[in-house]
Amino acid sequence: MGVDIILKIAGIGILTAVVSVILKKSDRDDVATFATLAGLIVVIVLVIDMISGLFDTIKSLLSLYS
Amino acid sequence: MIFKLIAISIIGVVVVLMLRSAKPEFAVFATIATGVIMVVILLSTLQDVILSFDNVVKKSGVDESVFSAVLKIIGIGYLTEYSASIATDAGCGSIAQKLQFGGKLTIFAMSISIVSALIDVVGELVNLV
Repeated sequence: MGVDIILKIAGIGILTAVVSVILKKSDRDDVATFATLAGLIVVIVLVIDMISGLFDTIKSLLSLYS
Repeated sequence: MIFKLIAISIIGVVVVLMLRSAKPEFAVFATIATGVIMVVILLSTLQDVILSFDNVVKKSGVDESVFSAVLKIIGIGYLTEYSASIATDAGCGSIAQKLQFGGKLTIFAMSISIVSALIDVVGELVNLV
């Protein structure tokens, strides 16, 4: 749990941007949207389990069991 | 400790700005990730503060349910503020306001129990005098 996760998300973002630009240039727009979607889903999964971990720790810390 | 927080927030800001120009959707996730990491670092100190508070409350004789309710309210307040600020960052302020309104309602509903506990304590004091 450190800075590497932020840099990982940045890397995925830039990579998807580059890939989608390349695919758009070689006029395959549909594949470009899929590539962007794939990058987005990878980042969503990464961030979602971080958030669930955070909310669990806060819930256990502050004894919030509602 | 504070330097680690500063370093992470600066890195997060740089990454968000970079992503905002290339791919705006990833910027929101970068802000969420930075927020999560900074909070995880702060949680350990928060734990010490809560434990020391717990001892103070035990000594002061106020019954335990009031303190745990206060903790719950702090938690709810913090969580709603956290997600509301993410929503405003992402640009949709209206969702953030609705979230804060919901948070206020839940806190208000919980504070009813605290107010009644307070009235009991005050009632006891009045009878003693």
